[in-house]
Amino acid sequence: MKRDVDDRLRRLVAEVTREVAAEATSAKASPAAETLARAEICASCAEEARRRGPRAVVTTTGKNRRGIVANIAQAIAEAGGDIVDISQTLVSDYFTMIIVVDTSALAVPLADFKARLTRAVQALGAECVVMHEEIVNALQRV
Amino acid sequence: MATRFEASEVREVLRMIESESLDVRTVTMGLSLRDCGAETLERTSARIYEKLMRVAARLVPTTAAVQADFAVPITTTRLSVTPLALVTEASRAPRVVQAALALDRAAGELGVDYVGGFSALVEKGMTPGDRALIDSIPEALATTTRVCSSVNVATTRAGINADAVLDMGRVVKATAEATASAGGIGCARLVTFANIPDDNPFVAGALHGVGEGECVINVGCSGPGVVLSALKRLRLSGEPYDLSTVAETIKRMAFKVARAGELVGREVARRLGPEVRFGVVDLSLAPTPAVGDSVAEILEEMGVDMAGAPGSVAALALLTDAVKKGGVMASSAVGGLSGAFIPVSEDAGMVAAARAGALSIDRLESLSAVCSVGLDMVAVPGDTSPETLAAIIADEIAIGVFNNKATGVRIIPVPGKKAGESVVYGGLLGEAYVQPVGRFGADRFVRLGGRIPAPLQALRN
Repeated sequence: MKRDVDDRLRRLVAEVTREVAAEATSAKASPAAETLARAEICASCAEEARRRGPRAVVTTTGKNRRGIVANIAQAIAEAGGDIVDISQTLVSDYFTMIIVVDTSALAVPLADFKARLTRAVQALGAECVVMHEEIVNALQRV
Repeated sequence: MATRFEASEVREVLRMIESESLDVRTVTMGLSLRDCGAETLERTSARIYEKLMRVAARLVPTTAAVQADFAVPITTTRLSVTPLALVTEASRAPRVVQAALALDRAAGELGVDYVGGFSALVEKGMTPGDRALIDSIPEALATTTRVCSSVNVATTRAGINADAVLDMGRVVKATAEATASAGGIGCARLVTFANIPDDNPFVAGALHGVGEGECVINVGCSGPGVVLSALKRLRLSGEPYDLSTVAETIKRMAFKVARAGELVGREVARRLGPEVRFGVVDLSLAPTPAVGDSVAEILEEMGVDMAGAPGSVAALALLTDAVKKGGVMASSAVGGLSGAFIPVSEDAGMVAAARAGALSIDRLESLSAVCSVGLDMVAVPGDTSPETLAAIIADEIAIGVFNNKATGVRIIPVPGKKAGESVVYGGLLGEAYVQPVGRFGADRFVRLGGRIPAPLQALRN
């Protein structure tokens, strides 16, 4: 039983790592495309979002604990979310993880999605905020 | 292609929302009631109620859904309607309190916090319909809890209707007395305006102007806490800085606050369907009684000892201007009052400054020359005469008219209270400290009536 869970976690982490790596490679392969995409975002955040499908920014903060990435990645996958970007910073033992999730194929309403993620990380003493990507775009991109 | 955010960018957004009180102060639906006028007041009131219930039915749930999706708190949801005197006039009723009750009932059932627009525009003269509405204000405010009333008594183009100013002195006094058991709280929902904007989402002066479309969503930003924290970080950074750096810092923060407001407003309008248009973002910095969410504290952070001390007008001018500059960069749909609010009771720092003697009514008048409204939520002794109230209103209105800006007076002669006493209203209205008005008046001047002619700057053609 224990081994089953460990295996599943390991698979999830591997999957997340692959996604991040693939994302990094594709960005490197076409810097012009990235510049173009950025320019579009700047020109019209809302238009861009509609074309590409809605995304949510999931921010998890807390003390570093074994299994936290796996827990949240699993919760996202189970709800039908697709991880498109992930980054993590660790200051001493305190971490901030930011995951951008494509929510266009979400199997549950956004409110349920939030509740699931919160439950998933609260068990490990962390906190989680889910917000529409547009709010970060609006505040941080001219 | 992923949109890559720096961790610091996401953290900043969270910090602004969670610990610096970034919020959208109000989402206000402006709605035309011009098709509700009927030959009897009963029928007019029924039409008003029916239209609000029909058109605004989805406003509150939609606002709640947008708040949940963007994680940005939306503090209040409001309605603003066509100045009601224009709607009730056809009924020829001498009193129109029933129409206020219809507004109040609809607002309560829809779950909106306030409905603005129990209003008359009388800058040049008064029709029988305007008269009926103004005479109904004290009873209307005493028998409702959500209705807000405003009367525009002057514009730069038309000059000042001094008869209406005197009327408003009496109406304010009567409203305080009609709500005496609650500290004259009716006056918190009553404002006398000069140059009233057509698209202001903030109460008590919200109304849906006659040149507006059928239904719009206007948004009022907030965010004094965000600006205050940014200025604190600037001071504590150890880097040398001067007033241009301060202005630049405020501008950047105002940009972000306005962006949040515009995003929320456009999204609410979009979800409400094609017949609802997005109107404007009002860039006003609106304080709350919470510590740290205060315009007074921003002035103090800039180095003024207390709000109202010498230097306050210059500091507030810098603040208001930087807020506007940051905001217009963020949104092409800026309107309403757009500036900084200094509602005394609603701002913990302002109350403290008034109590300490730094912030007198005279200083508030000076400050109103460079911010977005005028004497706002100012409590004065209950025995202040209607004539003195009218004279105070006249001064503030003149500042607006002659400086080509909106000014308003929301003053509360607190029944039974003397200067130095306090009255707690609670919620966003906060705690009012009763300020002295001095022993001199201008009774003969305000009783002269007539009109103060429009200033030379009215002749711009």
